[in-house]
Amino acid sequence: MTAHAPTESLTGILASLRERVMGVAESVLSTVDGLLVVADVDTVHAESVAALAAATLGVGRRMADQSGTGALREVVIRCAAGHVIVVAVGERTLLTVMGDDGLDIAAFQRESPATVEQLNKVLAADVAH
Amino acid sequence: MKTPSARNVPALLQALHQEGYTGTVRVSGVPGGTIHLRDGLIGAIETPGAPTATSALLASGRIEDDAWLAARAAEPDADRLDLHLVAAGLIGAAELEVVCTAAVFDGAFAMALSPPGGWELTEREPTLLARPGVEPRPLAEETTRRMALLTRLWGPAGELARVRPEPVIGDSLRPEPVAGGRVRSEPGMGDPVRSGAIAVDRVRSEPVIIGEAIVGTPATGQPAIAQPATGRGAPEADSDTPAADGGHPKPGRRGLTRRHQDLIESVNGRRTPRDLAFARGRGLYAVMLDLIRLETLQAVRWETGTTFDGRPSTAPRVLQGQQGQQGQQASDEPSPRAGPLPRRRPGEGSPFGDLGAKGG
Amino acid sequence: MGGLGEKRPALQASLDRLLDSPGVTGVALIDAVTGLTYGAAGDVAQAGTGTEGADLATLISERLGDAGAEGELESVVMTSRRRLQVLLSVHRSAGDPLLLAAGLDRDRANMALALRTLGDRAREVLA
Repeated sequence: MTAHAPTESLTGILASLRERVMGVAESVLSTVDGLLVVADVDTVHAESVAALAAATLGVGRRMADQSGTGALREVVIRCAAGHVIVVAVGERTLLTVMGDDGLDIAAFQRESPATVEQLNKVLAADVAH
Repeated sequence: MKTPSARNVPALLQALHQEGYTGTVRVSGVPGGTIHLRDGLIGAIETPGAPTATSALLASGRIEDDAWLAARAAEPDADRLDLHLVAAGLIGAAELEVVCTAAVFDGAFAMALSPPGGWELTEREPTLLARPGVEPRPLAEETTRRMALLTRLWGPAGELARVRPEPVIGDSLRPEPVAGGRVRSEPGMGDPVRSGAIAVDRVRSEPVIIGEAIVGTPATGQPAIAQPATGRGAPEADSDTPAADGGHPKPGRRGLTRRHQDLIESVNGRRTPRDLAFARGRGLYAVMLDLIRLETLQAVRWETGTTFDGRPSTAPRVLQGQQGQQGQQASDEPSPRAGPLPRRRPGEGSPFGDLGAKGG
Repeated sequence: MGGLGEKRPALQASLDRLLDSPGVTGVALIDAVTGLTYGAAGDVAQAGTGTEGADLATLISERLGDAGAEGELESVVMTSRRRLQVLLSVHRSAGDPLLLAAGLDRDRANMALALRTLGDRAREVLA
């Protein structure tokens, strides 16, 4: 497996998410250290999003802890012109999805487990080589 | 109350109309939607497939974000929000009716693009409403008309919904303009505009002759589209700097209306018509009509039959202009079904209107 | 169409008022892009159908644009011996363009004045 194959697969999965869930505009895959892995973006600065994603999820986890509401599922940030969702992908990776005002959040929540699983598989295969 | 038995959503809405039902119909599907009824009339439709009235008002800049939030805070019953917006002087009552009504028709159209999974009735959920609301029959008829028109103009609406247009780079193919300014077209004059004069073929008892067409900024003396001041008001950043718009040079603009030009600004090869509608705070159907026109004018283009990343699609090909199955998406992923729920009835066809196999 | 509401819907009231404008026999407010008719008053047949009006305005706009006219279409006036049919662009600060379609009776009013009055009143139709 060449170094390119996992990248293509990862971006393919991100782009496929955009196809399957209405309102997904851009997405970024990043590490818990704030580093960019791969991105499917158009207007946002992927590296900046990567840097923030880890912090966002981290704070979300601490808040979940403090409130005793169980394990964090995802962080949903709702804004005037859209949404940002950050979800963990395995132990070391994060997926940040940016959507517009009409983002189909219900569909995202249906699709994200499978998406996370696919991403995990590719990432694990990459590590294995 | 007992759910009326109905074989599809339009029939359900008819039955609820007879009963003067007030409440909510949740339609599942991809994407599905929520229909808000008041006294049997449809006041609002929410679906990820098209902007709501609220979304359109904010994204188009008609109402500023801060003013909106203040109105929401001041009026806790969203059903009464329209009265508050008008009282606060944020928008005229008649204009708000237009926006809300347009959104109902647009939402119905968007939902008709995908097959429904099923529905359930729940109680009233307050929301910004069209007053007095739309009757189900004209709604279904207009939806059917729209689907048929799109098929006639271009091809199956479901397929059009999935295109991702990109701007055509380069000089406009339109002819050089003659001297600008006010143009009058009068019978008997040999100027170039008159050559464009149209004899309208109407079924009337008397002949009708085009007298004149006047072009200019509307008589109010104000610009046709006001620039919104802050926040979300700007329908996304229409920047002139190449870096901001991804580096693509602007296509020729001669002869294109302002709204066509604005739409092209948002076209970027990634956005579907629905995405463009949300970006600009416009209706999905209106954006589709404009895109068809822009494609004809060669100002935008898109690939049909390929997937988003350029690989050939495995979906069945339907060539442009040919009659295809209306409302059927080329490559349907089966929508996930959670299993039967109480009071759910599977729908036939699409949520609004009988599509069947209509010729264009 | 019945509806809850303490008074007549605002758009209907606006359009009804336009029937007081000299010579006007029918009016309709139309979406210039989709052709949807949002409201109508009087002899609606005189005003034409929504999609006809929208198509006509679009066609004319484009022809005029091709010919180099600058700005947006303001009005279209179609004249016959006894009647006028008018499409007036209705100003709004955001949102897709709207057209006010009106039918006027030539015998009943001075047409220049009638058109001027209608044009003035049309600006208020969205209030």
